[in-house]
Amino acid sequence: MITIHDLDKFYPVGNGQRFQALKGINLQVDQGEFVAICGKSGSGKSTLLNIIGCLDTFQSGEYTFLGQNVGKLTDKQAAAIRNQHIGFVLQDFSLINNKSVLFNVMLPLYFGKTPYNKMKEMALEALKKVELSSQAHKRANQLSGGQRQRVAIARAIVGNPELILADEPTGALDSETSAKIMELLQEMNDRGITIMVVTHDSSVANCCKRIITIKDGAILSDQSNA
Amino acid sequence: MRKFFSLEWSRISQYYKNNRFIFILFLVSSIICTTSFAYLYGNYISSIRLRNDESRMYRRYSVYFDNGSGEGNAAEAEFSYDDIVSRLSSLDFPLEDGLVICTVTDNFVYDLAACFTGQPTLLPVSGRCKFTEEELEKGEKVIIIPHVFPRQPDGLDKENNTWTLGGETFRIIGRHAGEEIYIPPETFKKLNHAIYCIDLYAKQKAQNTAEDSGRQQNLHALFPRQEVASSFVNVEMWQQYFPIELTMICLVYGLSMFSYMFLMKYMMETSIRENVIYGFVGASKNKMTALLLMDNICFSVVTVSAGLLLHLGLKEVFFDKVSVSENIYYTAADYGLLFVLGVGISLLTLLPFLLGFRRHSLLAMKGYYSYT
Amino acid sequence: MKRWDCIRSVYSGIKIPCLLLTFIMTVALFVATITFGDYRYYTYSRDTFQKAGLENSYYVTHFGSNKPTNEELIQEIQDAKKAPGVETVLYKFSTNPFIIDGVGWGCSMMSEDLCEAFPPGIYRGTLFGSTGVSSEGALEMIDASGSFSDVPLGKPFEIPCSDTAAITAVLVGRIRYPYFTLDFGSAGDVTAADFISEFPTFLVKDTPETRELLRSVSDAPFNPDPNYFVVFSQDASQEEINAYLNESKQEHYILSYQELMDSTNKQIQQNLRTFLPLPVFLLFLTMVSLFSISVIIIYQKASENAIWYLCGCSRARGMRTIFFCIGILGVIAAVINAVFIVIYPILGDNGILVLNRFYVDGWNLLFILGYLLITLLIVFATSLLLQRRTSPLELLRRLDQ
Repeated sequence: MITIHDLDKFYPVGNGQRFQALKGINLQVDQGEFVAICGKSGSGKSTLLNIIGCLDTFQSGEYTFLGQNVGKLTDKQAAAIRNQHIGFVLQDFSLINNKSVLFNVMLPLYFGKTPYNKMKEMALEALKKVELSSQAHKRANQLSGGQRQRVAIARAIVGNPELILADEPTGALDSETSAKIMELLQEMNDRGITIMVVTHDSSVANCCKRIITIKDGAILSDQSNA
Repeated sequence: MRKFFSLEWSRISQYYKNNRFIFILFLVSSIICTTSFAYLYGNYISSIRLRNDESRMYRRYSVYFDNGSGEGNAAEAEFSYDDIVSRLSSLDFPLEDGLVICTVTDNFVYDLAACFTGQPTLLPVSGRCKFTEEELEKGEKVIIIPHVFPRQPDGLDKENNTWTLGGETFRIIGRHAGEEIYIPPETFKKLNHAIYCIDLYAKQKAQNTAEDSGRQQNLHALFPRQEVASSFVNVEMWQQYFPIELTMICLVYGLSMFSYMFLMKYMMETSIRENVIYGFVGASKNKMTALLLMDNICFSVVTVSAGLLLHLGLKEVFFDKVSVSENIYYTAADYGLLFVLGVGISLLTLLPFLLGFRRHSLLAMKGYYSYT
Repeated sequence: MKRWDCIRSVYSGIKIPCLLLTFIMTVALFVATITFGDYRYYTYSRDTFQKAGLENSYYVTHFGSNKPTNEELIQEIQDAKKAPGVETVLYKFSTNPFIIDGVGWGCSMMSEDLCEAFPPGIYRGTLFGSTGVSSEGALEMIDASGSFSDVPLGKPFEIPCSDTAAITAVLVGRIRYPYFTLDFGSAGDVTAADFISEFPTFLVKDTPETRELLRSVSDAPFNPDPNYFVVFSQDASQEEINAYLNESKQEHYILSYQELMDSTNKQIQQNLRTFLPLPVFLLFLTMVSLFSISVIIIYQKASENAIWYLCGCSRARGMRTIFFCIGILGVIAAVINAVFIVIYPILGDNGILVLNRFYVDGWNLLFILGYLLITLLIVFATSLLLQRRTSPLELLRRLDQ
């Protein structure tokens, strides 16, 4: 599903100098995997996730996603991939606070090819999977942290993507809620969705079946967590 | 006090640090708006626009003598020419010129004027519109007529360029752009018609109603039983419109400022975290509201002052060239009024945003910045 | 439907600034439109006058107590026609009012020369025949008021001239809005705008046949305007011109074509100077408001735009949506004013709104279009500059932090 070969990422830091965030990353992720990307703050794990999610570009190397060479995509094509094949779950939930839960979940469908009259049905189905159907018409800022993260997960899966990318999904939550969120992600994985989670929390990493550790922009280790 | 100013300064620096672009845009927009307000004040409000207008129509004082038809033997009139001129010598405001006027009926009724202060102030169209010394001294029968006078039904002898009026034949020496007929003062005296009116043109327009009243009283003192009229009513008419016109431009200014206040609202929202922390450490809602109000007073005072200074600085270089009238001038009182109105209206436009802020509880605001 | 939902979502939380901006832009543009219409009136009358081919003419006027009788004026005009070097004399007569539905309507009598110099802008029907009287003996009239659109062309009808007399008339044509007709009543320092005024009336041809028809129903059926143009031929020598002028100036106030045009141009400049600053300043303030509110909308919607980006909306699409949502406010202001321009003639015809010395045509619409383009350019430039600087990804990082 994901093939990354010798990928480098640089950031300009001023005075003509640049900082290398990722060094020679080689990675392969197959369909249905549940991967944790761990590392300390500033190690490059979020940068790697953003590149995988077609949110950011890279300077050298090769990245193929579902057979497509991502490096050569236009912004429009990258957006289409994000819309149809990838779902995001972020630490701060990234919901539109003054809109309803239902609208937030329907949002990816607005930019896809789903017919208008099917959108609500699909959104309610996604909410059902995260057990939030009863909250559909509440505003996002009226929910608790855990509920908001579940709404974010519902939004991530509404378009039936092949891949979910979660960047510190439990960072803003207590341990009990975190556990529930990880259970939910596990359920998604059981249904065949590939999950990649960036975390520095070992308890979250232990929920995953494969742990990739990054240090100073390079992969330090890539182990199975059976 | 020092704590307060120190806190206020840090708040304003924080606004700047949070979003430099919006901060500068807000300041620049408010300054532009204030400068435009000052421009509109001088160009839209009639009494300000016409303040420097020294047209004769605003400087005329007329005294009317009740002599019946105005014609007839001057000896029967209450005041002779010399009486009038002698009384007017003790007038306490300077004159540009003064006219004595009588009427002459000759198929039509004509007003015949003589300038007793010397030469009349005329806009020449053709010929000569000034009497020679000899004509003045000897009282020669020469006449300056309005340029629009063509053929008269009776009396105009085209070949000799004369005009017989009321049995007297005058030599036409010129035509002027106005409407009156002028003869030399000595000639006027010789005609021996009763004066029915004197028109006095002050050198300068009265600055205010009090000064105008003073002038009228002066004339009443000189001519106690005569009716005195002042053309200053035209100026007073413009002054009556002042409140309405000022309200109109204040509305325009208020609407514009209201639109820029959304920039301020944005800055307040991005500083909400700071305000919440103030609440955590013990500031009451009223204190926080007072701080926000103070922020805006500082912004308003600075931007309004800068806007007015910009107007003052660019007045000669730019604004005078695009003004609707020439020589529009502003007094210190005008700038003072603009300053007070500018700050007041700015604060007024802030009120809805301030009230909106007060509606939220501390916890609601905390929730807002936690999850934005 | 999806697009409309996205657009509605953009407006949530920013309705008040958007409404305010639309209101400010509409009012400012309206003030500017009125000023432009005023300016167009003066330039229209100047252009019409310039096209009349009167470069070699003089405007001869009478004043106040010196107005001649009709007979004296007619004699004057005949004498002027015979003066050496004079090609023609343009004069205008007006009939006594005809009573139609209780309202008095006068007719302007247009000679052949007058029709040639100031051709009526016929948009329906035709100009007069050679005699101005139809073959059935009806007086040929042109509707120069816009108020008789229900009277069919070519069908004779009776018009009362007095209690006892009526005249048979037939409408042969209609002139288009703004129903400007000639007026030679002004004297003094006149300008082109004094000759061309919006005065609802009929036009009839000034011929011996029409005069005879009018005399048949009234003893004193028409009166001349007190002033006229004396047009010299191209071959007229300066001596011939001076001879006429020297004699005429003894009794008349005369203005040359050049003096008229100088006064007209001065009037236009004075009007521009008087009327232009206020609308220009209002429009300028509006543009600054537009820029500020656009910035606010883009900043306030930046996080939402970033979320859209996450969900698969391309940056270009996000920018386009924001641009559309702000740009449409300018479009609304422009459309409201354009509608006003288009329906103003109808409002004027029905007496609902009549603005003095105001003229609308295609140029007014172009002006509004120009304003709209500038508005859209500002919004586009703001949108591009701000959203290029802060990419959704950078904003996402800020949100994550």
